[in-house]
Amino acid sequence: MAKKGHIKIKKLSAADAELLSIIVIMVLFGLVMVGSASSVNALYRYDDSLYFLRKQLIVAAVGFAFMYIISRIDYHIIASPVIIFLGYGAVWFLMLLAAFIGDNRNGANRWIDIGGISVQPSEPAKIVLIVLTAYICSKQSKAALNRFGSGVGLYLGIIGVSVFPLLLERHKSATIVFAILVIAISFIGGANIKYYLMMAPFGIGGALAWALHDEYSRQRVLMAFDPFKDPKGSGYQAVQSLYAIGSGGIFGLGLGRSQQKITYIPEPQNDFIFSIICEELGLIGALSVVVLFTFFMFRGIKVASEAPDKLGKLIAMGLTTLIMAQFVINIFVVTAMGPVTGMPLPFFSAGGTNLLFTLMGMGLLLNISRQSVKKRPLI
Amino acid sequence: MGRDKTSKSTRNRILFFAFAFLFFIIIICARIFYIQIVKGSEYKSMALDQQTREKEITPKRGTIYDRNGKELAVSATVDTVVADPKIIKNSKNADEIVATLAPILEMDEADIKEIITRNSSFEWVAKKIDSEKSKQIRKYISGKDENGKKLSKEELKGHNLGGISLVEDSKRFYPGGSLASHVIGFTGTDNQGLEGIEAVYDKFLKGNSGKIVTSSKSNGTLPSDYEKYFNAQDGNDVILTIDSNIQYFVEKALDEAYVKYKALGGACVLVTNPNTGEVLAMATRPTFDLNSPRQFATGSDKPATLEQLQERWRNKVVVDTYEPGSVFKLITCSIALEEKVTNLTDPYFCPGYLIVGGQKISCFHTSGHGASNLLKGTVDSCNPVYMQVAAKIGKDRMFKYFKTFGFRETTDFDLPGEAIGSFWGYNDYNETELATSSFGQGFTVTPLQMATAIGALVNGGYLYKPHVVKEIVDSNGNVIKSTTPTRIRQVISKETSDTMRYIMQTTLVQSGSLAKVDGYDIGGKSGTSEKLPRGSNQYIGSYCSVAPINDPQVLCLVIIDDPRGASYYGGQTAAPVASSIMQQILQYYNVQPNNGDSVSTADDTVIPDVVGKTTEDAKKIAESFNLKYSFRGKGDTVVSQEPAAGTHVRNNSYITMNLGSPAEISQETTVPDVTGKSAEEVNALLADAGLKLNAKGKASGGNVISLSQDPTPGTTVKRDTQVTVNFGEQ
Repeated sequence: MAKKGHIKIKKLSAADAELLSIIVIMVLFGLVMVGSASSVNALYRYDDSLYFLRKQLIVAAVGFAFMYIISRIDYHIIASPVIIFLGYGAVWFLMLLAAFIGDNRNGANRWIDIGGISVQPSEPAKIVLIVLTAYICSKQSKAALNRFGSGVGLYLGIIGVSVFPLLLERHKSATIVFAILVIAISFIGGANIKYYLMMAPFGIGGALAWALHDEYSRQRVLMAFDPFKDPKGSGYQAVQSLYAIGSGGIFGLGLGRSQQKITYIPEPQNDFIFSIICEELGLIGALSVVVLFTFFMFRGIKVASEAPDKLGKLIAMGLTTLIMAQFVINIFVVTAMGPVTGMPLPFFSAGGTNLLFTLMGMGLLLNISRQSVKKRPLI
Repeated sequence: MGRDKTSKSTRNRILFFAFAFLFFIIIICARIFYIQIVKGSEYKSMALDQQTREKEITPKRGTIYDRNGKELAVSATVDTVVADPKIIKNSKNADEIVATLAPILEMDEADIKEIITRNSSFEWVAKKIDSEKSKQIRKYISGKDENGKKLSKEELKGHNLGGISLVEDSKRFYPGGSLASHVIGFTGTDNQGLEGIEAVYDKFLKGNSGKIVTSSKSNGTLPSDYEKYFNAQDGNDVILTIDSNIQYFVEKALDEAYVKYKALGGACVLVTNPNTGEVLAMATRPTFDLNSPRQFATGSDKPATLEQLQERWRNKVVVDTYEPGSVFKLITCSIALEEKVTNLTDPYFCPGYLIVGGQKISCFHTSGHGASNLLKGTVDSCNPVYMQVAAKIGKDRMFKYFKTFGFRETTDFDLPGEAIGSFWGYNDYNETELATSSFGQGFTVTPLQMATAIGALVNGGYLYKPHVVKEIVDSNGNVIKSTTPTRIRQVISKETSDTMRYIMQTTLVQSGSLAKVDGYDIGGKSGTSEKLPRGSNQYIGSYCSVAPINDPQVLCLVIIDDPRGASYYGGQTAAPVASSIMQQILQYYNVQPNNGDSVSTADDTVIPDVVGKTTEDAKKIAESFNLKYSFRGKGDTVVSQEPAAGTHVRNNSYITMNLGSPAEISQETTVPDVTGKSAEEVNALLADAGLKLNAKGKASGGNVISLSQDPTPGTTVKRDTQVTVNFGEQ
């Protein structure tokens, strides 16, 4: 009790300035690219080339406000059992709701309408899941984590419960992210790696069976390896994305000069925004994005390793993993190294919920950074 | 200690994650590098391929002008409606398009729907629509009215024409309508030349199309930086030798004649400049309007059949052949004079018929013309005289001249489908055929060939290649191709040509031809031939006239095919048409009229052949040739003359005529040595000596020469005696 109290009253130090800078740079970069990528689409559909940019600006402003507020609330308060379990119950119910009454878009029901705004419940669920898993893991003893039932078995159970509504939603990308988050946090938290390795064949087998269970999914997976087999059908998006990236060359066609955004790449401001960055800004722009995420990763790991306790470490690593996993999967998809799933590029893609909750998660990460305990450098 | 261990294990696991992410980041970098740098240009070109669309820019088709620069065929810009069914499918506005376009284009809704829902990205909806229609469509496409005012949402509601666009196209207009229609020809819907000059000179007229390469999805409303423009190269202009004023005179005169003489087989007129071969006017009946070449009265409600169309588009002057009839006597006459087998005054007798090769061939004047000569025979158009003259010319020479006058080949004219006509093979060309061919029966020629040959009779003896294209000029005014008058060959001497002009004038004047134009010196000859099969009572009447006769500038050939009016004779049907045309042309050319029956004020004249003439006739002839004359000796007949016929002299030179009795005119001649010579040489030698050839043995083949002759060389015999020559292999 005394320890807890001590932390509560501890005066927070300044947030990690470099981390904050990277976040702000990526969001601003993202805004510019959303404006460019969406202009044609917006003009064509809404007769207003700034339509999507305006929406994204509002979301970014709100997101930064939330980020600031959350960064000033001690993460121990947020990671209290009442908030965690109520929050988890709420997002789980909303995900289930989306599966049944959600808007059907592109064959998936992942959106629900809250007060006139479309929200993907899976986005807040990612943050809640990180905090939940980190909390549970931080409370377990080393022995408990070492056992199967209270260790890996428990976390697999959490994964199973969490992704159940997503399977109903046919929301593959979020399912993958959920699994990665729980496994990553529990692994770092000390779960017995032996059991994960033992479960791996089942996991991979299950994932394959699931990925190939219907013709639509099968085509997407097969096309991931050679999209040019059916450039007008299931390989269309991958091929168009390759055209965009390839057209960029070293220096790109110049900001705003993408041709592929003109109705070739559907919704170029969303999942395929990286292709437009490559086309307009070339290899230079593409590597800038990669470098920003790499910096982010190092700062996230630094925050984690300097976190004052295990809960902080695990939440920080969970958030870093969330961003990096989405980044890697998104780039794999748009560079035709994986099947097309609805995976946004964090900070960059338009689509309000993702940016809003990403920034809220970043508020949490910044808060942890404010409680850093200086240590010798990790690397 | 335990806490440190846990912490260390956590740190290691964090590090593991860091390396895992770095591993993926390296893969990503490699992949991006591979796509952008290694495969970059390949993907870029594939992307460009789908992003761009080439829009063809139709070049402006060249203009066709007459020789005075008057426009005969011009192109105007019009719009063509095209659709991109792919865009329409995506924007799901097919019904709006159908509902909007059908009333404007006056097309069936189902037809439009079928076109715009095809599985393609380019379809023609309506070609070459008029400006009113295109204005209405443009309004909906641009969303603005003609004055650039934006249309309201309500006005545009239900008129989303996304996927429909207007493409500039050009349409051909013919200001003259049916003027020179058979010469100019017309184009098809794709602006390709189909007939006449439009077809033959298509490659010059059409130009090279350019293109605009644009972003294929820019759709006119979306921003796009990519636009490349490749200029179209406009077509070249073609300038014809046609004079549209003369063409107009011809069309008008022919219109009247076509109706008046009820020409069932049609009619045609060709006007040329005999000194250059330039076609000044060319017209055919029935005709058609170039602006709607498929619409004319066919006698039924149905649209014209293909045969009817082709019949209507036939340029009779070039494509059709006919038996020239007595107009051809001019050619025979010139051959006789050139080969000196007879002269204008050698006596002939017409009993009304002649038995040739066992066949009785009548003169149209069945009671006969009686005593005659070549000039009178021409004036009278007497067949027996000509049959006798042809016999003197002989088969070989006749055959040769038929070739040299150009009747055995096309003239290589500018217009398509030129015919050659038919003539006998050498072995089928015997006594009877020789006789009938002398007055233009039994073989066919094209009007163009006929006019070309007669041109040579009056222009000093040169066969000129006829042509109707004067120049080709590019869109910047540079001359690309220019036609200079081409002499094919000299067919007859200048002297013969001069005499022919005299004969033609005398014929026109003395026959009292309807082709005359008061106050002008004109020469001409009529012709009438019965169409095959004989006895069908179908005739072709023709007239060929030349003016001014002392310095021919215009040659006019009129052909009336199967007239069913009061008369079918060329002298009655074609001659008045020729007269009307000539009168207008001469006035248009500002030729000064004179008293109408004397030959020229030109500096040169030619000595006519007056031997055998009575003193009175000889006086008249000499006067008509602008000669002064003196008589020597006594008698009423000219027995010899000085200088010889055909000599060129100044006007008002003297011709001295020795008089005597007709008996004194030499009837005797010396047989030349004709052994060891070819058949042609023998023929020529005997003809020069006024003798006839009676060929024996094998008279044709490679090495055939004359082996012996009877009478022997040096023998004095009467004129026209047959010399028997034996031919055989050398």
